[in-house]
Amino acid sequence: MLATLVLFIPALIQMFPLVYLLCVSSKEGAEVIQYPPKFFPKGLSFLNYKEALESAPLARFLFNSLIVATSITLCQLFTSILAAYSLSRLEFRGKEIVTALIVATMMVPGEVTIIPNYFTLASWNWLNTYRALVVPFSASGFGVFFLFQFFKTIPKELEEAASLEGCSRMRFLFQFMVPLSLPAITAFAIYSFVGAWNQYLWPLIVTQTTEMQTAQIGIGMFRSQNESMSWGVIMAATAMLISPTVLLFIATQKQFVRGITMSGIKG
Amino acid sequence: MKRNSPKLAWGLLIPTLTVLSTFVIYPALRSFVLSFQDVEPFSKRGFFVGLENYQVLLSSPDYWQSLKVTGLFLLLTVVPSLLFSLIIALLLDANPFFQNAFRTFFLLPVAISSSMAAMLWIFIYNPTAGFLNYTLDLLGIPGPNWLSDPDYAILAVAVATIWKEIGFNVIFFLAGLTAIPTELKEAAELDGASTWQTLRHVILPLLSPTLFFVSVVSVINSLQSFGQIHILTAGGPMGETTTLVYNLYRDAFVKFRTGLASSEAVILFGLIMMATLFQFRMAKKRIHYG
Repeated sequence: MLATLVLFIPALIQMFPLVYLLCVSSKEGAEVIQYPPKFFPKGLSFLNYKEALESAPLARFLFNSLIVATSITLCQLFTSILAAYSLSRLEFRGKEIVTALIVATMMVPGEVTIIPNYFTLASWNWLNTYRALVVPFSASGFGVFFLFQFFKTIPKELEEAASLEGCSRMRFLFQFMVPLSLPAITAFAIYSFVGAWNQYLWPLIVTQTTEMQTAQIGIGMFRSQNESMSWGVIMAATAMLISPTVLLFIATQKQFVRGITMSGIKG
Repeated sequence: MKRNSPKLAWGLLIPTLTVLSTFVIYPALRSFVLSFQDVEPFSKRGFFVGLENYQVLLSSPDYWQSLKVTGLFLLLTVVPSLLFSLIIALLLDANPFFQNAFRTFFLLPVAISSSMAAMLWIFIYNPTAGFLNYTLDLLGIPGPNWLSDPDYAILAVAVATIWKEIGFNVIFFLAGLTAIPTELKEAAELDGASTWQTLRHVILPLLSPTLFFVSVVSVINSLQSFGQIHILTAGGPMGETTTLVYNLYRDAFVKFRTGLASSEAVILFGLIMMATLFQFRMAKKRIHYG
């Protein structure tokens, strides 16, 4: 089978950095820098993991990432569901302009807004807080647009029938529209969470102390502040910081892939 | 049922409109204004200097260098990552058994951020204890000091980036390939088409919308790369990995040259728009929407 061989090599290459990470992180002391290097460690040692945990607040980094990414996701879901319902179901003057404005925000890259946003938050004394990490991302033009597309596919007759039964608009939104749009909402939630979790430039600029750093920023700081530290320890810290998302990905692969493709194709 | 309910409609829009106007629309406009100003470090006071910031940029060799680096990085990341992911996706799609066995291996990097990907590669590139140079050594090739050699640093950052991007691309290519009806491929084979002909005349045309989407996203992502550069090389050696975004970050938040950095942001915005529009124009001629 030629295909097997052809696929086996890139699969090996794609897995190599992760396997290597595990091997280096479980080597002991001088074993990491010995020459010639051995790929596999002599035995499993958790010393590096222990030392990494003692020299940096890794749990705190993960906790910060979790808080920030979860808050951003929930805020974006809330604001986008309301706005998407308004634009897809209600009539008012100026609707076209508002829709165009919201869609236009999707095209503005983060680098363009980052300097004024930094000034804004500095003048509010918000730097180095969770608010600084969350609030600027608590709405999403993409989220509104994506859910808007989906809400439009739900028949209007359903809402008219519910209204005749005395169901208010808000009750209809949360009791019928939201459950009916669950695939789209899940897709957007996954997309939003991954994006928030992986943010780098913004948290780098607005966090100033170790207590506020997210996992992405914490790992870089950990390395640059511990130049003399053994690579084994740095790799152990990396392993611990990537394991939550990697394990989550393995466990929820199907939904994850569906979420990413759905949100991508419609966008 | 009441057709008009403007109060409720605006009420529901308020949260989104407040956030987007405060943190996207207003700052985008302010960046534009700032780009015509000279702002003193640590103060917000600025005075108009007309096009001076743009003139300074366009006459600065460092800025042209960063444009060149960005272009090179774009080529080194987008082309190989699209090509490799397409090949991998085609092989996986043609072989359901291996798809089940290998798919996770290829998709896993999706769960890893660019900065974590950089951490995975940083030790591989280590000139003395890293596995890359050891392997090259065994083959009799002297390995360079990847991250601090001006000739190789950008290649090293690009490889780590490609490694990370492949997962995302494969997901989309697989989704696109699964959507192509098997009957079409079978019909082509029955008509005596070779594998290559089926690929060239049936599969690729039907996959073109996905190819277009993935290439647009890849170009935008590549232009905005930051985390891996910050961790692997911090823009060095000798500016060989200082892209437009990295230059902007340094001017804004290390050198505190706000006005100058704002004009860089405006130019970057223009370039991203141009790259996207260009791809849309190319696509109009080539894409086949089944």
